[in-house]
Amino acid sequence: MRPGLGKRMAARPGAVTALILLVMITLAAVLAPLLPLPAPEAINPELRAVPPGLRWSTWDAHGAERLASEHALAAGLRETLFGDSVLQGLLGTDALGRDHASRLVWGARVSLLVGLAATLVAMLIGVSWGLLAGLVGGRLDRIMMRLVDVAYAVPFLFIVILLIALLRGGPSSGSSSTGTDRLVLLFIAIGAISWLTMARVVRGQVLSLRNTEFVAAARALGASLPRIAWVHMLPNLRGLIAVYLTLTVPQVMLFEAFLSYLGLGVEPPGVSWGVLASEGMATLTAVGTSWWLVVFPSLALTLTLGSLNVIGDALRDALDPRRRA
Amino acid sequence: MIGFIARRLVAALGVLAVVVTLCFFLMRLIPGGPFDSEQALDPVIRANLLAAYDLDAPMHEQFGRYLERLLLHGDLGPSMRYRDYSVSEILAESLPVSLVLGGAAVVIALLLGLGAGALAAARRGTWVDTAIMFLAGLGLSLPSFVIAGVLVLLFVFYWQLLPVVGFGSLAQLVLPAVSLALPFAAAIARLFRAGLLEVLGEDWIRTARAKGRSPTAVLLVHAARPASLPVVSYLGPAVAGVLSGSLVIENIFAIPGVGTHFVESALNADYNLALGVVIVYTLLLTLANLAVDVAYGLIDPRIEVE
Repeated sequence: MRPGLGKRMAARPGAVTALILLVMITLAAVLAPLLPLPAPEAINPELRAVPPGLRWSTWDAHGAERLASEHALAAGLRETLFGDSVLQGLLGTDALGRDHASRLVWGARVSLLVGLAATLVAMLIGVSWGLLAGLVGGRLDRIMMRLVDVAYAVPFLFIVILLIALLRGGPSSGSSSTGTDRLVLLFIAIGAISWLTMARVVRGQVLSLRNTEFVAAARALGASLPRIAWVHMLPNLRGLIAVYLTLTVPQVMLFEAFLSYLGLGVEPPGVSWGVLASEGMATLTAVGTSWWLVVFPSLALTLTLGSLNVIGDALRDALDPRRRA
Repeated sequence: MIGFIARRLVAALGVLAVVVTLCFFLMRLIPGGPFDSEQALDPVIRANLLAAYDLDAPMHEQFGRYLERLLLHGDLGPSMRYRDYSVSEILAESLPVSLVLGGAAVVIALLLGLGAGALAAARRGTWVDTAIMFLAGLGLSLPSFVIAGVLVLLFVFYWQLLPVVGFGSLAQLVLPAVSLALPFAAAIARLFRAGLLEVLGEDWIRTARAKGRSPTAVLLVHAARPASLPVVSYLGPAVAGVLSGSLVIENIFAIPGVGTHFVESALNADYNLALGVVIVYTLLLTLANLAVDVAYGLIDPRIEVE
């Protein structure tokens, strides 16, 4: 199964390209403190709203200090690699003179992290829910799946928006909680509303696995339900879970962008692609447009989400013999 | 069929009751209220305001009175931010705007999606198919505000063909409706193409071809109906997506719809208005899902509605 899957995936040039793109974007995000770029929030009044271009310059002290204190190891490595030279306005700057390229790679960290973490929350809930319902079966299964049906009818999206906005809007919450708390809250909120499909799909698969002979054999040997779930079900669910993970991450990232756009997601001075795209949109006026502030965050989002969708589709097709076209 | 619809409506009322209860209490449990502004109000004024909007009583009593007003008089209460406006008045003004926008988006998504899907299926394996599927993949990975941004850049600033903001004329409806519709058109195109390709392998399609029907007739008359089933079942989630997407689109194009009020009311802790909008959204979603199920049964007579 394993080598076959790899080969089938490799036979799709689209999926391979998507994977390479995704790895590159992830690398840029992970290596953000290493890159010779100004700090994302460092303001350079001399370079306001300049278009993309190559401008080598030296470190702005303020930004360097913060990055050095928070990412000491990376800062040291960067100094050996690039000295104190830095690329300013590689992808243009915004109206305040902040470097767009730097904000993009630092924003990538937040966007990708939110996408991953929220998807993991959704996966944990969804897989446990589906496993439990499918394995135990009977009345519990009926109740649990009925709950999922009901939950599908509840507009959770709006309730989550309502709650986040209320938490955000209240004056008392202004200083009490830090940005990290908000981010964690965002993960949980987004994850908590994205697990329904996963639960349904997993349960369906568990139901069909339950009737296989090796599960019957395990039962006959006296294996407990948790053991059957862990040893016999999960390995067989891996492919399915992988497919839905790759398809859930883009949805979650879209939702993060959506929330950030409404001012309910990541809060400035924090950056995410949603925040950047939103700031870029605000510069679209008749007076003059900074096209790079719209195009690059959009491109980043599109490439990432597109890659994930392509990989998810390819995985699904590769794993499902019926769907091989 | 009537029994089915009636049962579904009863279930919908149950969901609505859950949603209203949940939101009512959660909103009040979250710190901050409609009258907690930056500068502290005079305590007497504040107390009077709280009393006037029935916010000083214990929560369960507030809830009792809210339900009583809602169920007996269909009254959603006064807005706590817009003085002298009731929630019903605000909704009466903004809901038609949002319905026009959302309706236009759904129609555009269907026309574009079905057309592109059919074209891709008819030209399967050619560059037309590849191009359409590539664009559809792109459409699925773009947030609607990015689509809106690109469209605004092109049509408003570079070619200066369309007005950018506001609502009222057809020209002002084009950009927001199209931006809202494109992601869903992309999803519909993919579903319809996949459905068509699956159906085209069936025996009765071969029979239709053997009888000498033209490829177009086979595609549009014989294959389209069963192939539209996945599209129909996608319309439920699509309506939900259009509703949430309209929050952002209304914001970008400064359209005075329900979405704008929803975000603002939540930020301002305008409890009555926010809850009123949630009720409207829940009803719209439920009705859309019900309509989808009924349509499903009508299109595919093999499905017993029970």
